[in-house]
Amino acid sequence: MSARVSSSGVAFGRRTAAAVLASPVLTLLVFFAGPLIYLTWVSFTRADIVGDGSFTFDNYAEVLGEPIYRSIFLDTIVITVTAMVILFVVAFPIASFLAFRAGKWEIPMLLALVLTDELNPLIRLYAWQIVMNKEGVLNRFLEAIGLIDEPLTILFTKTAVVVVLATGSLAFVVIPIYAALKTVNRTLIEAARDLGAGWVTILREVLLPLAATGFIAAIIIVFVPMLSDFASPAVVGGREGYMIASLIEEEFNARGDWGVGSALSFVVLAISAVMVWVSIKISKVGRL
Amino acid sequence: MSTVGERDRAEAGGARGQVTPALELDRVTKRFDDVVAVDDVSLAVDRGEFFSLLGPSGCGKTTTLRMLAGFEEPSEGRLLLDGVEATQIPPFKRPTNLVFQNYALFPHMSVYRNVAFGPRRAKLPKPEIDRRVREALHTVQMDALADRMPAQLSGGQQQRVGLARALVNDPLVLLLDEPLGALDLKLRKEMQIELKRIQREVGISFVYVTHDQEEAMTMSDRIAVMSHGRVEQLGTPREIYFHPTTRFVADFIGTANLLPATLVLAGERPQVRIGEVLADAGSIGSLPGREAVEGDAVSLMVRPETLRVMRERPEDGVALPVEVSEVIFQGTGIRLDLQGPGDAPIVALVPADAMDWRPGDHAHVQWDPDRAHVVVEPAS
Repeated sequence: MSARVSSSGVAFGRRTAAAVLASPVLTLLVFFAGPLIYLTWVSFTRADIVGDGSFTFDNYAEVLGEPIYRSIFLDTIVITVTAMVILFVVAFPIASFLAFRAGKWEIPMLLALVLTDELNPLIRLYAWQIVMNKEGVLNRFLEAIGLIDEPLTILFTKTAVVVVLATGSLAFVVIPIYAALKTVNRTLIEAARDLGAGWVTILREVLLPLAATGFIAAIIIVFVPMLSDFASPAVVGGREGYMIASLIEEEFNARGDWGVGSALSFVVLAISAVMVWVSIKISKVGRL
Repeated sequence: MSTVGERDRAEAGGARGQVTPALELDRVTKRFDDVVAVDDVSLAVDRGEFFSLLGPSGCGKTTTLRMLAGFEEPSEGRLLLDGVEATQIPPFKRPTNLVFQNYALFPHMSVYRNVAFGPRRAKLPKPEIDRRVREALHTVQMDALADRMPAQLSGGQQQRVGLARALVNDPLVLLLDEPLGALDLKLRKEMQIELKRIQREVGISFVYVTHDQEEAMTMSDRIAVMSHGRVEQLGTPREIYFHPTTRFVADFIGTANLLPATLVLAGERPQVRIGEVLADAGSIGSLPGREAVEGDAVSLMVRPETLRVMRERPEDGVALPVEVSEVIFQGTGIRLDLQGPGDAPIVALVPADAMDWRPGDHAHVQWDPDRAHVVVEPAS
C-alpha cells in the first residue's frame, strides 16, 4: 500500500493508517478480548474468591451437573424460544403487510416501529409492570368487559417475561423480514397464483423460502440478547420468571463465586453459538 | 390488388362464429380511480388462434391481459372463457396461464421444480406430473437443463422455462406479456419463430401482448391494435398493414407515408387530390359512425416499399415531384428521404442496386393505385 491522498489533499502513509486503526483495535483488545480471556481463565480455576490459581473442571461440572442450574437453563430456553415463536408469528404478518400492502403508509409505519423501539427499555419494563399488575390496567380492562371475575396473576410469572421479551424486539424482527420480503419480486407471487397456488401454498413454497435470510438475520439479532436478558426477568419475572442472566449476576455479586459465574457465561455463549450455527445451516439448506 | 383485402377479411370473419370462442371480452372497461385504462373493449379469440394485443405503452394492452389472467377485475363488462362467464374467477382457478416479461421463475427452485409447480398444485399423481414436466421441457427444448437453477440460465433459456411452466398446465388460453421484451434483437427473432412453432404444435390459443409491431406481424393470426384503451383496429396482419382504418394504425404499423389530401371521390375506388395532382386509391378506411364524404381532409397512405422513384416524369399515371433530402444505405436496400409537395416528408425504399441518388436531386415518385389506401381523419 503506497501513500494515499485523502480528500483534503494531504498525503498520509502506512504509519498514519496504523495509528488510526490502533485505537479501535486497542479498545477491543482491552475491553473485550481481555476480559473474555480473563473469564476463561477464571472459569477453569478452583476458587471461591479470585486468586487461588489451580486448574479445574469443577466449575463446569457443577454448572452442567446441578439440577437447579439445569432447570434454570431449561426455563431460560423455554422462555426465550416461546417469546421468539410469538415474536415471529406477530412479526411476519406485519412485515408482509409493510412489504406488499402498506403503500403510502409503508414509511410512516416503519418509522413508528422504530420509534417504539427508541423507548427506554427500563421505562418500558416499568410500564409493563403497571399494565400487568394485579390491580393493573390489563386486569381492570378484562374485568370491565366481563371476561374474568378474579384478577389474573400475570406479573412475576414466566408469561410476563415472555410477553415483555416478545414485544421488546418487534422492530428487530420485523425489519429484517420486511427487508427480505421486499427483495421478493411481486410477480413471483402473481406467478404462483396464476399456477394455482392459494395463499398458504404461496407462503410455504415461495415467501418463506425466499425470506429465509431475513428470518435467520432476525433470529441471530434477537436470540442472543433475549437468552441473556437480565433486566426483564429482574423487573417482571420474579421468582418464577428467573433466567440464566440473573443467576450469573447472583453468582458474581451475591455469592462471589466467579468460577461458576464464568462457567455459566461460557455455557450461555456456547448455546448462542450453536443456535446461530444451526440457523445459518438451516438457511443454506432452505436455499437449495 | 383489392382481392387481397377481400381475402383477408374473409380469413378474419369466415371461420369465426360457428364454434364457441376460447375467450371473449364483452364491452369491458377498466378504470383506475379516474383513469380509464381499458375503454369498452370487445373481442373474441378462437381456439388455436395466435392473437396479439399491439400498441404503445399505456394503451391498455397489459391491463387487458391482466384482466384475462384474473389479476384485475373489469369495472364493467364480462369475460367469457369457453363460453362460460369467468369475470369473477380468481387467477388460481382460471384455465389461463401467464408468461411474464421478466420470466418470474422461482429462484429457489430448479427448472424441473419450476415447471412442476402448476401440476403439483393440481394434485396430479406423481408419475403424471413427471411425464407432463418432461414433455413440456421437451417442447421448449430444455430437457437437458432440468436440474439447473434459474440463475444458471441465459435470458432466452429462462423464458423457455417460463413458457414450459405455463404450457405444462395445458391452459385453455396462454397469456404472454411481452415475453421477449428483455431479450436482444437476434435472440428475439429466433424466439418469435420458435414461439410460433410451439403454438402450432400445442394448438393452444395464445394471447400475446407486445409493443413491437414487427413481432406481432411475424407471429399473429390476428392483431388488435390498441390506443388510449380502445381497440383501433382488429384484423389479420395483412389487413392492418394494407388497409389501416385510422391514421394511428397506419403510422404505428411499419413505416407509412401519409400524404395530406382532399377526398374527391368516395366509394369503392376512391380518388384524392394531393396539391395539384389527382390520384386514385385501392381502398378507403372507415371510422365507426363516420362515413367520409367528398371534400373531407384525408391522408393517402403509401408504403415506402411500394414507391417507385424516377428521374423523369413518367409518360402516364400519377407522379409526385419530389426532392431527395437524404440517402441512407441499409444493406437490403436504400432508404430515400424525400420532400414532397408542401414539404410533406416521403420515405421510399428502393433496391440497393438502384441508381445513384444524391441529396438535392429532383425526382418523381409513382405508386400502384391499388396499393394506395385512403385514411380518414377523425373529426377534430
